[in-house]
Amino acid sequence: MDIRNFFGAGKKASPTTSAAASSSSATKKKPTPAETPRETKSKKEPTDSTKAVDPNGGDSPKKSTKGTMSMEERRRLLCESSDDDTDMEVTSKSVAVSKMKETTSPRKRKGTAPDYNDKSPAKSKIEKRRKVIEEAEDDFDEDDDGNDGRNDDDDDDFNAGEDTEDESDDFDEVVEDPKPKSKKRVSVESPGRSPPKKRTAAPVATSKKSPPAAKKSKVAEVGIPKYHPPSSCLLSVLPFLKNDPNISIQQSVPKLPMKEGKSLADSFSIDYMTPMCLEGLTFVFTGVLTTNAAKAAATNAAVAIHSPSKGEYYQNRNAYTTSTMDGIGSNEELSRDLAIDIVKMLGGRVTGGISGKTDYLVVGSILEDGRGVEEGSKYRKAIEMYETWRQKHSEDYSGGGVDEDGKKKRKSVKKAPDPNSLVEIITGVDEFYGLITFYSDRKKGALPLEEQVKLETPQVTVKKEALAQPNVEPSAATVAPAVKNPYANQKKPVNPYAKTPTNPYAKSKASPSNPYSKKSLDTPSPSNKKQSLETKPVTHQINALWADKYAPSNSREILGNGDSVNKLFTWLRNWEQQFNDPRRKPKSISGPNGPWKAALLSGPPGIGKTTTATLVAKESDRDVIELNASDARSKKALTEALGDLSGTHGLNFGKAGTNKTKVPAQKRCVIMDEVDGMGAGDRSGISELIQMIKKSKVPIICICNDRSSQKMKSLVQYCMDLRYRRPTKNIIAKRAVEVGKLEGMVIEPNAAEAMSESCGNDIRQVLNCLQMWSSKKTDNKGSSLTFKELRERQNDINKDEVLRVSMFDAAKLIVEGSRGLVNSDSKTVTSSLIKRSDAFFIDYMLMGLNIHQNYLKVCLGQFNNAKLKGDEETELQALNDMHDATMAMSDFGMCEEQLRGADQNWSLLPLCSILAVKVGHHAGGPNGGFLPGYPEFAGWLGKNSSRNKKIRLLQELRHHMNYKVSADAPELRMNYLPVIRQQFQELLFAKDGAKVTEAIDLMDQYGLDRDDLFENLDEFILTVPDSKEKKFSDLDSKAKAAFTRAYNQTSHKSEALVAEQGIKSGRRKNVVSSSEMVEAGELDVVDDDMAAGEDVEEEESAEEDVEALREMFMKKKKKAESKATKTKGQNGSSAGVRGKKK
Amino acid sequence: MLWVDKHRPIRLSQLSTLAPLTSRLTSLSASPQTLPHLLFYGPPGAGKKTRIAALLNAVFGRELKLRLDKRVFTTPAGRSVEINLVTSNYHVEMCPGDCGLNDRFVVQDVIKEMASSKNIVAFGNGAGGAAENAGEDGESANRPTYKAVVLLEVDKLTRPAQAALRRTMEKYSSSCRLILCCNNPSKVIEPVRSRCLGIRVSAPGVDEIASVLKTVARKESISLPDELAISLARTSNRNLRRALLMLESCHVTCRDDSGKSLPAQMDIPKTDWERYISQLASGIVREQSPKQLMAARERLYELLINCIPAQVILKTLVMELLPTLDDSIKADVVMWAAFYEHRISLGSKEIFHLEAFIAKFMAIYKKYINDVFG
Repeated sequence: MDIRNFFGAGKKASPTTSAAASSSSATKKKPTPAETPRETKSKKEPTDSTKAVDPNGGDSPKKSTKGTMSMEERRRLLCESSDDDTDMEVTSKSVAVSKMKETTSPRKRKGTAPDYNDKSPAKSKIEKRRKVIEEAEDDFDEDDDGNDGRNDDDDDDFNAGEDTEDESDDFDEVVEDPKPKSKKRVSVESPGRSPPKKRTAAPVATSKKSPPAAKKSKVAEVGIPKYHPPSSCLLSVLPFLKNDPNISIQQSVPKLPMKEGKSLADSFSIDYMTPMCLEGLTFVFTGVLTTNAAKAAATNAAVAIHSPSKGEYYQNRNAYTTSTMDGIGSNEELSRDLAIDIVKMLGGRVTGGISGKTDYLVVGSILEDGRGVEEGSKYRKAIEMYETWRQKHSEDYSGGGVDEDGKKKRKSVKKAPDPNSLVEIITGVDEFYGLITFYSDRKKGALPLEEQVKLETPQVTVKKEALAQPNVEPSAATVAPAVKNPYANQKKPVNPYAKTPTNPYAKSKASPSNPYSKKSLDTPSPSNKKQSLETKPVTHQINALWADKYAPSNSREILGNGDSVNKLFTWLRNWEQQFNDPRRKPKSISGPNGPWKAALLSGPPGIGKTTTATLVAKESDRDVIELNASDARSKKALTEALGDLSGTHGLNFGKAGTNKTKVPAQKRCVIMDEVDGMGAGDRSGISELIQMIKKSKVPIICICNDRSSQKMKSLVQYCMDLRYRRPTKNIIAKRAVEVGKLEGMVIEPNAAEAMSESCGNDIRQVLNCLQMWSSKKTDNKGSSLTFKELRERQNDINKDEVLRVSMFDAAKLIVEGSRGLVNSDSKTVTSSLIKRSDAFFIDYMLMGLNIHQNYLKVCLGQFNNAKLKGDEETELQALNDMHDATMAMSDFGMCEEQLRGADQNWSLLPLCSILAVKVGHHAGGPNGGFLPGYPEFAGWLGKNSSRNKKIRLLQELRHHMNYKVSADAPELRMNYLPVIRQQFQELLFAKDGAKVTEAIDLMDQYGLDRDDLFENLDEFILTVPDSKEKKFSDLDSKAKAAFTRAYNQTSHKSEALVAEQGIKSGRRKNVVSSSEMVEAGELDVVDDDMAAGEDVEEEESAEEDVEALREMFMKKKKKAESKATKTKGQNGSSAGVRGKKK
Repeated sequence: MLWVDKHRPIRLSQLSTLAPLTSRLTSLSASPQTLPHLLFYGPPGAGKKTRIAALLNAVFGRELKLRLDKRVFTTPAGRSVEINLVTSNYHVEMCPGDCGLNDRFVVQDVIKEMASSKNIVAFGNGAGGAAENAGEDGESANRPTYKAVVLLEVDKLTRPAQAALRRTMEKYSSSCRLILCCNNPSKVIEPVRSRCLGIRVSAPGVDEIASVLKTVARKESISLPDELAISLARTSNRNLRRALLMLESCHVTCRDDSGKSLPAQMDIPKTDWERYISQLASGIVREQSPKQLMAARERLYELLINCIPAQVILKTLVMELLPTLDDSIKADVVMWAAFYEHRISLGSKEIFHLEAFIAKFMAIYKKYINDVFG
């Protein structure tokens, strides 16, 4: 942090200090002979121009600064008073820039100067400008125009000049529209360093106009500079780096100068950015992006400028345009999504975490959960990387040093590792925009003039590229599939099925859903597909589905899941040896742990399971017989179709057309596609399949989507488990781009990724989508797909997106409420609302319960936040919100009852969804809440089922007690059971030993059996964790055994029990009425038993054994006995036991 | 056997509470042939079933011998459902609500079947057993020829089941009388109610309960002080069954020390679920936060799982809360309790509404605390 503070201080440094710094840097520069002349000249030019044009600007430095500033900046500045300039910091950036430009030769600069003069008739420019920027003030306009119009590519010289002069520039590089006509200078840039890479690409365009262009191309050799924001940590090692041509650190943020007027964010519009300018850069975002408290009171409606015809869309999406209108003075926030969109639209990559490849870490002011950005792991990692780098390399720089003249030695620079490889931290929105603008301008400089002019329509460039890339080059991997169609090649000769019309299996193969069948059909006329593909990869098979056309033609082309493919290969290769080797004992059984006779490929649709299976089978020279859902697959059908196949092996087929010589036995392979689709119509299909697998002499590959479904359970045991995962979106995107190339369609990688994402990483669907896009050709020049276009159709895509979210994510979405919508316009809010209410329908049966399970956690977060503030009122507010949420939940419950209950009023479902959203809305509070962790699954279901279980138990109890007890179930539970429990406990846990007889008596009176007492009664007790409530199951085992013994000795004729268990005959034959006498007798027996137990301890254990035996015996008896028969045997046996005891 | 069952009256004349009602029932039973369909309703523990049993005994002129029975029938969907019955020769008693959503089929099949056949005993009596009956008592001519079908917990029946009931009641009125029993008559559909003679069995008064308690105590030869009897009657919430059970519970707790006499001032032991709810109440009074609400949710789930009806939970909870509250917010709390109790009876997922009440209570209480101390 020190570092940053240091720089922050630097930023705010008064003009004097900055001036000092600048002067020092200037001096440093001078040493280079090449530079000096250039500098001086350039200096003069700008100053002159500024002076000439701008009466207001007193200081030349100020002016020049402005001139160099980016377009956006300038616009803002225009709105501001000229005083603002003082705020701008003078930085050494310019110095760095100038150094980078060392290489440029003086003469070029000279060339530029004239250009500048020639080209910038201030007035004409002003006019142009005015068209574009209405609000701009005149004087500033002049300035800008002067700078802008001068030389399109000549930023370096210009900058250098400026640098030397005042060194107060924020942006060294000025990229401008060469043509005075161009209305907008799209980009004026941040600190220039070496020319953009692309400049070289368009030398022609520039060259015709001006020498500067040539200059630039030279400059390009230096290397690609990277944008380093003013806050860059690199400054801490500035002494060494200052003069590094590869590094130029922006010393001030574009936005800083503006006291009033719009912040950069306001005037920023992606429409002006050069397309693909961020290509090759990787971004990581963290924290909430805000403009650094830059407030604008200004009148300037820069917005208007940015609402070109097509701007409407972006204005609404980009909070900064519209929201600024009314949001002046507020802290603007750039939503993460939006920022990511911007980067992606410009061709950049956005990743989730810091890695070596990351170029920029864009940090906001705070993290989402309220901690400072500095605590974020991403930030820390970036700093860490930087520290390591610094430690490693600071020596190099220190060694290199700066010579007396202040010029850095080139040697050291060369030696030094490229600091540009570091992760640069971009703080805040302004720097972020600055960065984009910088790159945009740089890139723009590379474009031919016409393109720059047309920049408002970014697609132009893309189109051009599209044109430029003839569909010719068949990039190896992707194109290949079409070229070498294995089916055409291999299948034809070998596979008799393809050809023989009489082939019974042909039918199944011809099923439309099977891509392979199509190919085999193609074989008769192989010329059209195969050959044409080879010669001109852009096929003319317009009607072919891309998904089929570009299906992989060999296993190596399969995207992702390489492991599974290899496993399948090995398995197939070893199959014969494993199971069909005559020398080995035939293993007919496919066990749970292998070896497996069959394989089961499982995974979501569209990721190439069928393709893999078929290709792998082909490539291991097997004949493929495929049965899919379009075939009947009942037991009968399976037997008919495959019985002979799976039962036999090594069928011989002669080649029909060619020589009739004997062909070696053709190995085969059965593919059972879509096994989980074997449904009601295919009765016992699965079990038959299992039987087949057991018997089969042919490998069987089964394919299913849902491995865990109930249906598949039995099959799974017999199959090698190969699970397929979706390939990542980058892989798919890559393939999509390649395919696009073949089809003459230009696809931005980012767009392809986004599409892949929106298709849920389903390759097939991506290809289908692409094909659809391709039909929408623009200008007859071929089609293209850009991220921007894709985003424009965001609504459509979003709809799908919501429906594809998992149930849990949907619950999270709903529960967190209006998260991330602060300050967004009404349209965004509405769409978010709709999105959430759509999310409810992902599973409307369960969503309510899931929400119920989770919303309190969100409330908790809100409440804790309130509590942190220590304000009782906010706490109360949080509680009120919580009640609102619970009340919405209660509303939801009633509504749901209406639609699910007796009325079945399902038209209330939309209301339900909105009520669910309302729950989240209240739970999340005005700014949305946060649900920590993964959403839990609805607990209600579990609770409900255990409740139902208890209700059943209770009913059973009541049934047992039925005609003695008048209470209904709840009464029984609430009033009877506690007392009955108490009674029994009194009896069983009595201090002087369990009063077994009385307990049994009571049981009999109420018709309870032993299980009721020991198990069921315990169910109905509510205990607090620390309570010492005794449970019947806690009864010590001796007492329990005694009880059981006693219980079993008597017969229990309560009617319910009799009905349930049959009549048990015991010594006691009677029930309540005539119990007296027998009871007396029984008591004696029990007493005797107990006495015996007490007296003779050793006997007790033996007795226990006997007891156990007898119990077992009786249980058996119980089963054997019919209700009616009373066996005497039991009497005898129990009598015997008793006798023995005695 | 528990006292509550042991000392249950079996004849109308033994009934000690609600004398006016008893006399009306007696007069009803005097002319059994003209007995209408009856609908007994009233709070639990008031003596509905006891009265039904006593009435039946009076109507059929003897003490009915009960037996348990079981009927199995198949629903149109092919599921076989069991229902437990308590039968005698003269009547059938069942609780169709036990079958949940299948209760309609119980009504349609089982009840219809039973209702459509005449009472065998009565039939036999009419033919050959007349003499025997005549010998027993003079009212043999008056002896009913119908069967009584006692349906319990009618308010738990689903709409379709109740609708199925109405036609049955009319069509087979010659061969059977329905005696319905429920707590809440408003849940019985209007047509069914209009076909029945409604008999409201109101909860006995405190003094009535106290005197019953005294009687029972005397029979058990236990000395029960009046104070304790009254306080038992109060705590029982005028639920006689409960009062008796509590009496027994008291007896059990102090059996060891004082033997046959109960102290006048003793803590009446609370049932497990009451203790549980009062802990819940003290929890939410102690702290008002979502965390506490989550803890409360767990407790509520526990209570519900333990088959405590949601309304009872809510009511007990409010009763536990009220003493701790200031008068100024009592009304509010009770109002919201009523609000959510209403919702509980409308909706099916009670936990939602219980939770909402607790959340509301927390908000109210917090506001109160803030106002007072903040």
